[in-house]
Amino acid sequence: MNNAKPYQLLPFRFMRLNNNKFLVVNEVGEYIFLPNENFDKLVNYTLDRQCSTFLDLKAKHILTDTYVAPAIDMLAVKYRTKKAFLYNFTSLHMVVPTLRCNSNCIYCQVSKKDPNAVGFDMDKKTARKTVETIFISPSPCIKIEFQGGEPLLNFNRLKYIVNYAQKLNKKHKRDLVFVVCTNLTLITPAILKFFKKHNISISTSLDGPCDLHNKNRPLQNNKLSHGKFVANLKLSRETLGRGNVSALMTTPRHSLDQFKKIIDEYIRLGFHNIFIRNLNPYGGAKQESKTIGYAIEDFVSKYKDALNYIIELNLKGTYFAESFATLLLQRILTPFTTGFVDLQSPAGVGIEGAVYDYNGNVYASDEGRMLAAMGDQEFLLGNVTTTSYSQIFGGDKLRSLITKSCLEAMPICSHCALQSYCGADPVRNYAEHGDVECHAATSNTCKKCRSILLYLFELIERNDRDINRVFWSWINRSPFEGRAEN
Amino acid sequence: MDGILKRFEKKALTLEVNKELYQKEAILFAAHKFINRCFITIEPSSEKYINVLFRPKDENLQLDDFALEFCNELLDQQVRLNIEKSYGNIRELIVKQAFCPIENIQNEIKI
Repeated sequence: MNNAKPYQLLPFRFMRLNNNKFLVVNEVGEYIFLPNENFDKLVNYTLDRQCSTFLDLKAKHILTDTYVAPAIDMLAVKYRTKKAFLYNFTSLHMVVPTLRCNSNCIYCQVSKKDPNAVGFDMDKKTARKTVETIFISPSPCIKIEFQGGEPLLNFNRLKYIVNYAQKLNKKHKRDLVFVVCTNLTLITPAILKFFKKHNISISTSLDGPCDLHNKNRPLQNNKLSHGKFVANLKLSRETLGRGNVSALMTTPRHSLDQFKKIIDEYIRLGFHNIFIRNLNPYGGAKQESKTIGYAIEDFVSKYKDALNYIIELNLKGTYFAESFATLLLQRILTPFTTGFVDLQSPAGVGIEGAVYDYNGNVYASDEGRMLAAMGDQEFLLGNVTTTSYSQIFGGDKLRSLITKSCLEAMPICSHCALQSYCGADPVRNYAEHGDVECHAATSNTCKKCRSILLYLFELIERNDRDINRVFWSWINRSPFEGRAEN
Repeated sequence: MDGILKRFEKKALTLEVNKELYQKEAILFAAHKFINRCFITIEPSSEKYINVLFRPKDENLQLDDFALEFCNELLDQQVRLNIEKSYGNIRELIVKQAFCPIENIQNEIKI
């Protein structure tokens, strides 16, 4: 300890929450709300060492009045825990067996091809090389996620990949799991039997009640999809179990005012969570932005209403979580790491997840593939048939991307009190600004994450026992046990 | 607004910031936060002052309120720089200790 100061400040970031209060967050995401007066005392070294604020700050490793080294040791352990997503290297491998699709979604982000189009299926040689490349990854956990197009349009190749991966895994002994992202309309009992045998989960898309889902996600030739979706959802759950079928939604402009109905539909169909996602600036969503796009401020405003509605539902006894809020709450309220390739620092591109396109091209992320479909190959890392694993995953391109995606070194982000809970998405930055680095002052992603994080902090600061219990039920993934007794 | 002089001219705002109270880094960090709302030019005006010129992107921007907001941000940035200085190399040591443990941290601390 320096004798000139009564205590030593440990690294923290801060921001004004309003005219009366600061949010102070240390290097590992532990936070405290401080009235202006106490903040001034803190930074001017005049805090009373017996007061509760001082003891709170000391407990949260925002200051120390004893030896500094043990505090560094403790913070380092916590820091390592928070960054544990870096341990394994690439574990999520997204494979595109075909770019053909039988859906005609109004916001299609992948520039899909017609169901009968020729030349957009992964051939056997490419599939084989893809699986072999995946198993070079040092990660003890390998998740192969089939994307599209609609992957079931090339079910034979999907089967080949699953079988070959399992064959290789007899030697590699990884924790190997499969997920198929499908619109469910082509599901059959035979396909489900294969899924069941190989322990394959389903990730599907549900945009809301019948009229909304059909409007957003019609099939080719304007056929409606919702009826088929509901019937096959039931069939899939009966075969695979309820927990092995999850769903995602996307929000075009006309869905913004429908969040309550969308949430109700998720509950009606037996889902326990929803991920309220805004449109991505890729493919059809970008081309049609004049008719289906919106200002991010509008999305955030409706998101908050939806979150309040979901909290109310929980308080009335329906266990139902919003996945983005859950992810952020886990980062705010627990010391643990949360893997989410779109929002971490350094970014998850390539080192957490990679995409293998139907032609063997490897992209740093699914969004990188989406940009490629629009003619921009900025995030192409190589091709499984011509590029070595070390060139793809250890090459200058990926290294440069990762280097430029550390919030700790970004203007504005490096000082942001919310940094511990946030992350970088260089592909999205590039799509928005033409630059992989985050320009926080003008970034829609920053506007969204910052607003939602601040809203969550507003709710946390209320210290309402019922809301707190709802939040913890989401984090623990267990139902809320009724209102707290007074 | 101690250390800051304000001047409005032709739909633009110039703030003269006293260098004895605010470091150049604080001025740059603070100004950068406002690039979404203004075109910003920074240049020395005298030995004692730095001029920060804001030209609003939206002509409806209330420059009076904006000036107050900038002053708060500038103050925050200067406080940030001051406390960052007081950490010495603690932040670097936390990261280093997390991924590449140090044999004797005590010897490495520079505060």
